[in-house]
Amino acid sequence: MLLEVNALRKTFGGLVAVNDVTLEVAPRTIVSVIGPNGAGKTTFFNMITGIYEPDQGSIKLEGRDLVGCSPDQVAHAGIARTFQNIRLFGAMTALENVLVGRHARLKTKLWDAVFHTKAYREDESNGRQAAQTLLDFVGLGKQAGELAANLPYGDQRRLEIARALATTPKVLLLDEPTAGMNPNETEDAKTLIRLIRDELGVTVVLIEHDMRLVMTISEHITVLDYGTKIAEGGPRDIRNNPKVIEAYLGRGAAAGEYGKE
Amino acid sequence: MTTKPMPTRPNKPMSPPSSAATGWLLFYSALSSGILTWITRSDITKGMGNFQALFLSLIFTAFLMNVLFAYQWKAAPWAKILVGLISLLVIMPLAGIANGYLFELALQIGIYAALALGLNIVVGQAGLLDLGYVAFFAAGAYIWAIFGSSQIGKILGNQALIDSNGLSGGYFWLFLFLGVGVAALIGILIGLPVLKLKGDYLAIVTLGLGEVIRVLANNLTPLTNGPIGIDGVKRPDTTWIDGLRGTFGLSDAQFPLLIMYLVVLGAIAVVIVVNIRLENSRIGRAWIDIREDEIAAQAMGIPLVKAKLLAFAAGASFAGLMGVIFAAKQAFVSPESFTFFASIGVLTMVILGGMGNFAGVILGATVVTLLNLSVLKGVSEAMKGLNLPAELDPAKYERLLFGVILILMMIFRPEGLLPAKRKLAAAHIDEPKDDSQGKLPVTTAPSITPKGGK
Repeated sequence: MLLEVNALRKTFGGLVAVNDVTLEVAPRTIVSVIGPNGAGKTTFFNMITGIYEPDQGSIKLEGRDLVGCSPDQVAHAGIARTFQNIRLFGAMTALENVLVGRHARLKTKLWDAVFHTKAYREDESNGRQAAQTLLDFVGLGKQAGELAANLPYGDQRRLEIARALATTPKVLLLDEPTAGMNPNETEDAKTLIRLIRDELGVTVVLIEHDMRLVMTISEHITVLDYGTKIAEGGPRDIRNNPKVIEAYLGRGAAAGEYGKE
Repeated sequence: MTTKPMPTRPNKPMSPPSSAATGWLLFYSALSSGILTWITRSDITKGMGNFQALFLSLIFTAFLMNVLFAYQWKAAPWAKILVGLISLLVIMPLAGIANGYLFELALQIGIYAALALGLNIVVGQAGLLDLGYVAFFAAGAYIWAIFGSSQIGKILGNQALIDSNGLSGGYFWLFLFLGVGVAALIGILIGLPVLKLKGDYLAIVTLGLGEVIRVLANNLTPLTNGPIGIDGVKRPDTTWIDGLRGTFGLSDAQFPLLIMYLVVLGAIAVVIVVNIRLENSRIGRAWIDIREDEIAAQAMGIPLVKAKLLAFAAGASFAGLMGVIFAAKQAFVSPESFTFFASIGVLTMVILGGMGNFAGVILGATVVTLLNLSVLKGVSEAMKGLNLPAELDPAKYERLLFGVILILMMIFRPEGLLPAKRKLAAAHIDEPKDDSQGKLPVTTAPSITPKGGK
């Protein structure tokens, strides 16, 4: 297993946000974590990426324990993420945003930058090239010089993915990558997520509310409700799991109708 | 999304130079330089009585605008460089030699400009509000003041060092580097425990630490000579170019001022180059990211504390450098120069000029120093003839005027006189009408919310 999360638990005061959740992610897969609002999905992501420290449990990336690591150490180790509410650096250009993602992989030291050493120039031009390649990959090659804040919403989401990919992660965590997108944009996002796995070989874990996307793209689905894992399995199992239907899908219409906005 | 077009955008080439701008620039600089040189060498101002100071300061201000125009106008590059170099390296020294007061003023502006540039890294780029910045300035100043005067002899009880009045002036050049190092070290030591704090908390702690350094200087009498301060601090040793003194026919008082002026110019040049290079490296980008969004920056692999420490140390080291120069220029150092108001003053320069933009910061330092030391005093001098009551003396309203200027700036031009391009764009991002256009939404609408269930 590439990523092994074992019995992870987090409480905020009396509220158990995540209750002994276990998740195993095989290399080169696309897996989803779903659940109603407030089920603890984002908290779960925040623990994996070091923003919150779990009360209990372990997080292992290729056998290396990441509990207690700071977010930048987690990024160095090979887990990158995007955010539910886009957190781009709005006053930087698209290219610069992606360059920031390269930060961990660039090696320029203070002196190199001050004296413009050969190492600095090579590092910088390599970084820019890599960043441009990634922008091309997500389809933003022509917008490299635009300020991130000026990009349309869908492009901002894609830029955030490019920025995360710039850290050359082994696992990419996407927190609601299609939230607020129209069906066309969602379709593009789906293609992009598949490309990330197929061409870059990056394992993808997503939190998503769009059931149609989840059901078509994921090889494995984990369902959380009130912080507890209530089901896991392939899309077909989840669709027919009575617990899931009751907790989540069953509140209104049938599963097939979701995501048709 | 229908965002209105941004006025400026990074990485875009400037529009081509216009020959009209080139002409105007050359004309203006020739005129203002000519007037300044003539005024300082003639007796014409003597007959102006009370208006002399004001007149001189306005002429001087007009002359300094040369450099600003050379930077700002879309003139041909050769003209910009020519005007800048001649103004700073020929006209200014000439005027300064003729009129020591103007030289003093220029030195003061230079020192504050470099200080503001250092603070700009901390506040403008990394977004760490530091209210105790002069502490590092004080560290640099005291280092040279102690070693470059008889104080070191008194501390060590060494009669030879007392007699020789401390280390020789040649050590000044070494202490420029020592000042940088010591201030950076203090920056790191102070930064380590406090940089985990954010925003307001950090500001309060730095405010306290700044005061601690000043109080230490005030009370560590054996080391710093307490509130009396240290005098007789040596000027840099320049025997190797002493021949030039005769060539230019300079007096003993004029020559050291000229040297200090050149040292300050050199220091500013170094500070600017380092500033720009850092800004365009991964280190500078990391600072901007931390300012914009700490969580996202960290998630991208930027070590928060390390990057902040680096910003703190870089800013501190510039202050240390200028401290050494300040001590040598004043030949006297006392805790009074390093009060909380001095920190606020430097911060005012950064904010007034344009946080994050080095040209703006220099402009801010120039404007504030000119107002403080020259224009306001000139105005109050000029109003003497009116026989107004003492309460209406404009020099007494210095701080009031600054307060008003700052408030007006924050209302009408929060990005500063010469805003950083990024900041300008960011200032527009923050406008509420842009938020409604769906960028960077705070909450996202989950598309699965079952409509039937509501």
